[in-house]
Amino acid sequence: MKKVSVHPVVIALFVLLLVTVMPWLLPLKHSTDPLREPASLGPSRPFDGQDTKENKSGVVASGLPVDLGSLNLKDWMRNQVGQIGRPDENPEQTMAVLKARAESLGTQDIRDLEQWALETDRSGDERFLAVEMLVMNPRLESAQSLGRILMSPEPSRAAEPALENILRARAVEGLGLHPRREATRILRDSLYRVSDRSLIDRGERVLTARRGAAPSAMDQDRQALHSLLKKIR
Amino acid sequence: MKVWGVYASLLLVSSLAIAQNLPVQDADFGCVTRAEAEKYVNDFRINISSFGGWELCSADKDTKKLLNDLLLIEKGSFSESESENSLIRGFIPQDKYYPWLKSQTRGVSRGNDVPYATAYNRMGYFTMQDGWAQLSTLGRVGVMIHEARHTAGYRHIPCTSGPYAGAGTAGCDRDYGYGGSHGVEMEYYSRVQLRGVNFHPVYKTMARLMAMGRANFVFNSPVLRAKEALLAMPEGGTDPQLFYQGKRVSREGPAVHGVLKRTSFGASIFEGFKALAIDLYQTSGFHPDLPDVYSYYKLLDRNNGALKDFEEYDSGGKRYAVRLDEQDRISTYNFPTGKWNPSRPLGLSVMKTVTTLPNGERGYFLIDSENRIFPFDADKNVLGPAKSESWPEHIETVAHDENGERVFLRSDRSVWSVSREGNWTPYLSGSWSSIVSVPVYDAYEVLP
Repeated sequence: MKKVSVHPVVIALFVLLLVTVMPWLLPLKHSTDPLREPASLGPSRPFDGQDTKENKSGVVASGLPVDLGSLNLKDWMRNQVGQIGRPDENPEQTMAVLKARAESLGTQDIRDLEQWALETDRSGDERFLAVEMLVMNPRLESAQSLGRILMSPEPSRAAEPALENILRARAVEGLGLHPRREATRILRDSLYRVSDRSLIDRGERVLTARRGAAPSAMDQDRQALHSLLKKIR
Repeated sequence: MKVWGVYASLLLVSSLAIAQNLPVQDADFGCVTRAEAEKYVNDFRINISSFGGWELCSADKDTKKLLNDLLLIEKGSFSESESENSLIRGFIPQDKYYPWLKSQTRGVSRGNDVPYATAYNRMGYFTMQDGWAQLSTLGRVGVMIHEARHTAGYRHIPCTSGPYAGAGTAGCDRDYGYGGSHGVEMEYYSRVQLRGVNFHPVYKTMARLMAMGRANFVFNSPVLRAKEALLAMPEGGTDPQLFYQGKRVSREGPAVHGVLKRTSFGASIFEGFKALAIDLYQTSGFHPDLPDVYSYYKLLDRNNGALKDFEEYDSGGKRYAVRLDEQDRISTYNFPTGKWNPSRPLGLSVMKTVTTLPNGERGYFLIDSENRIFPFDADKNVLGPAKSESWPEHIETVAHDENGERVFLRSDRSVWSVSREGNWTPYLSGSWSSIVSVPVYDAYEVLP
């Protein structure tokens, strides 16, 4: 019988591969017990709360890159929304992930995000994330969407009135940050349909900053909040 | 080579397998461990059944929402500002939110017995209402912190300003410095934005805007104010003078005679047919006639004839634009539709319009030939009954300077201020034709 020799490096790589793949290939235990106990999955559990950082960043524990961007936008958004209410050990990486996806948005994605941002039966986290994605997209369509979000009247019986305001405030800032020159006109025109003083004020600040005549509205906010915290010391 | 080819194939298969199994539901990601959940339930004496029973994974369930919020409060961390003394603390020590919250909570349950409220605290027992369940994560965490402060005896008082002024229920705090429920909530949002270490970027942005949005309307004394300045036009001149940060700066004005107006952008000169913008921030050396397309005075483009007055002003958190024609017919701008409402005759002869009364009250007021003052309600598009006081004949206009002090342009073209005791003091030397308060967009002022 002919003896087959295999290089030790190849064996090591194969073992590494098995260790990496096996937990994913095995069916995950999804208990119907409402008091689910993720710890019972053992140390190889890939989806419990401890692994959120790796999952959301698109890099699994093995270090293999995963193309989360291949998920359709709806699933990708659902995935990201779940992270907003959890501690984030690497916010810079999170920001990079959001930005990368936002920059690749197509026309239909932008339309969907605009719609989701204004649907009051969606969660506040999801609606705000939808606006944030539009803010980070460089296309003209995203500026137009932000303008329409800004102009849309706040619902008279909103579940979270403050959320309705900050969604629109962020749309104002997004138009101020937008790389397209048309965003200035869109912001100015949209403000003519807005009667909320705080939004108009923010809009004017953004327009002034866009001309280089004042710090950005975000920096002005931070400066004010910094002074506020110092005030009680 | 073959071996490497097999390995590459397996790598591809494994990548595909991983991609296919990627979690996309909250439930797949954010499960709270049983140990964590039990700790929270014990620490806060949570009535789990009232929240719908145990649930560690699905954020669609109220139980999981509450557990998520407590996890974020416990694990959320803040950096110590380098420039500040760490021995001096705020309302709540920034590294003690969780133990503080625990110490202020005797129990948490879910109900909807006070449906108009988001949540309430009765002697340390919190009852989260349906409104709580509909909030964003930041909103829910803010509610927990807010309610916890009530346990120490901090109560709300009726609102005297902002959108809830006059409402039957007590929903405001005296001011930020009181350190009540609104104060600690604001402090939390501010810290998340400025010092938050391990918060999601979207959560941090929401916190900044939430802090700014709530800064004034939950307190009876404003916390943050847009900076203002006084703009005055010398008699016979065309270059308005800006009084800001204790300095006088000459600005370029167009070569037309009109009245200074405050605009959302800064200032304009209104001369009946059109408005020309004044750049408060820079000069060009050309004294250009810049049509005001920056503010709501742009709406004059849609007007056929001369107007007696045009004004944009703020009241109760809303912006209004009003036009008054030569026949004393008035109309308001409908922002959502982007059109003017139909003009209505006022039934009086308007001699003057002002946005500030001598007592400091702001709004839009029409003065008739007998110096009677009629407030205009732009929401209802109607004129209110004449005020008991008359417009003083020796006063032309009232404005505010950067310190909020009232400044008066008198009929003899001199500018004065008046102290709280009622003593008149010359404010500007020389002769002036018009004064107005203008917004300056370079910073917020944090009020004492």
